[in-house]
Amino acid sequence: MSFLMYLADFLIYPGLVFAFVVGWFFYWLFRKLRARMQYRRGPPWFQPFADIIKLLSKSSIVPKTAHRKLFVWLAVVLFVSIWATLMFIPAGSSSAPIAFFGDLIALLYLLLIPPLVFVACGPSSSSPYGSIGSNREVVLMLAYESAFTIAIISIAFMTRSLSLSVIVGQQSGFSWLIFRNPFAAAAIFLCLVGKLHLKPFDIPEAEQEIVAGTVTEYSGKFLGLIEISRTLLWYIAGVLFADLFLGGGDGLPPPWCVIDLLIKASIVVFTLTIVNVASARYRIDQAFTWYLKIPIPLSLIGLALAFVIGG
Amino acid sequence: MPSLVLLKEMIKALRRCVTTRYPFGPPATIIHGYRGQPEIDKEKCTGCGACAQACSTEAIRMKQGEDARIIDIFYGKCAFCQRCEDVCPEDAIRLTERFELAGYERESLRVNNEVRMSKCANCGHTFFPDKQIEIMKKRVLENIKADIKAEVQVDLEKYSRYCVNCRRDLSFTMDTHTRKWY
Amino acid sequence: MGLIDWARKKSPWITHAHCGGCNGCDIEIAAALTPRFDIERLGCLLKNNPRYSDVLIITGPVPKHTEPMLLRIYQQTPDPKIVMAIGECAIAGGIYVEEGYDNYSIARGADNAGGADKVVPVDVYVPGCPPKPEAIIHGLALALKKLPEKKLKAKASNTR
Repeated sequence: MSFLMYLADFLIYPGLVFAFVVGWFFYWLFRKLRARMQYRRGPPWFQPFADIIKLLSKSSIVPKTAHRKLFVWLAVVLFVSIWATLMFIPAGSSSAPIAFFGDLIALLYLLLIPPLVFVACGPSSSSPYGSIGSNREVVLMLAYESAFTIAIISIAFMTRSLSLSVIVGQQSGFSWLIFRNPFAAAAIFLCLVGKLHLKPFDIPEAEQEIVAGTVTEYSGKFLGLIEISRTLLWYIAGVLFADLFLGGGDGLPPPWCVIDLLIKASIVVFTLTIVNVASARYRIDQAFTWYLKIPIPLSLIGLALAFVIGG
Repeated sequence: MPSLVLLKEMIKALRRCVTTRYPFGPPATIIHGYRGQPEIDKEKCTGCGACAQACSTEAIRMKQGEDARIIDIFYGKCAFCQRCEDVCPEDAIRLTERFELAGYERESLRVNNEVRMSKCANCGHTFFPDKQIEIMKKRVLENIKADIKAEVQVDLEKYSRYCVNCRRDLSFTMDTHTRKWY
Repeated sequence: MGLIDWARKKSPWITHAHCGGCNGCDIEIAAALTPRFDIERLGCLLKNNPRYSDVLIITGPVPKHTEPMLLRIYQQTPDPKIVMAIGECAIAGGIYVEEGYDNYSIARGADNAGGADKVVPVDVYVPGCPPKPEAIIHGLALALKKLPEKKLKAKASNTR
């Protein structure tokens, strides 16, 4: 019985199907809002789904000089690791399917895998664009992961717990963490811009410079897996921020908690879109120094605030 | 990081969308004088070949057949420059406003006109297109002086059935030679 | 029309291969991406990476030194793919190929014309010098009608 419940959680809610549908909606919202802010009409609502089905039906070409096993398995590892992360994030209800003391650390670890996989994709495809892209991805990762980790630690300190479900539960009744520690919220928001490769920081996939960066040589079904992973990453970004700082569900009864969470996550996606549309791409050294100048000090101030107030 | 002016422009753009609805909805707007697909008016074309000589990319070719002359426009090489329309003496060739010209085969991008040639009644060679002879007769009779018009009309009917060489050879027997005017 | 045919019709990703030429057609393709004609509402994205795309757009008369480049881009695009030749130069060499004049840089075929289909098989020809962005969208619609006939060929996993 409980195995079937876990399977339903893993596959449907809040597993693959729910996360894919919500991620599809967020990705479409991002593209539509970006188009509307540029005076254009934008794609119809089924666009991300059509893109992924089309990619999964094309033939996949593996370059002759690529390391074949690594090339293929990296795409699979990316997809599976993001799928595993979905089980740790509460989606509406106050607790995730896998919740234990310390699951915040496990979540941090799992969220580190997608950028590392991107870094490894580049050289494995034996393409010079891949090498340059993975170089840039490593530097960017060093920049934003520090701020992200310090901000998460400050949240854990403030709420005296290392479990995401307890953090969500503690924000019931409008005592959202964004009001109690806005500096950590700002730091994590700016790190999400880097994690999703949105506009000032889409350096590893800079189209005009290095064709597509680390994932240049992927085509067909492997690219379909990477696009599914990107869609799921949109879901994780929106819902994680809503869980950590905006109350995430607010303890309401079952259909309303999901709707509540989706509204909050959509507002996060809207803000990410505004940042994306209004910015041009930074150089990698500019991005690194910017991360040293603003998000890391913000997260340190948040940590200090957590020490002073949190008790 | 974004500036305030850019943010205001983005909010303004959210309310207004400038995209046309093509290919759905109303047809595309064409400004007057747009140079689109070339078209030959079969009533007016005389097959003179001025357009083929003036064409800047050799898209118009004049092919001489047994008893017909074909003016063939391949608009896969046409540069839509309108030189053919400028030089045509009969205003037969015209650049329309059609621009949706895509096709699956390269040979489907052709427009042509066939002009019948007349054969000389004496030697049997093809010499001029029919239309050109008609127009020549019409224009001469319109512009000639009134006192010699009747005689010229009779002469025109006689020698417009022969090619240039036979016309010259038979000019004494047909009494069309110009010595009668001196 | 199954799910896969529908998805392929609604999401054509473009690669634009510029092979010589005056850039007029390239500017019109870029104009098709601007807010006025916005082909992203039809699902089109300009991904200048042949491995990502379904539609290969060729502009310019293909001079001899760009032939190996064009052939390589064509081979790198995964099946099923459509090739569009946009503009007079890509159809038959355009203004650069004339009967009596031996242009040193453009290779001609048996019918004494140049163009993209000397190098790769072309599916749709869009005339115009340059074609209007609406004409390019019309050509794209014709090309997408031909897409269900293209099946996946046998495994081509070790080509470059």
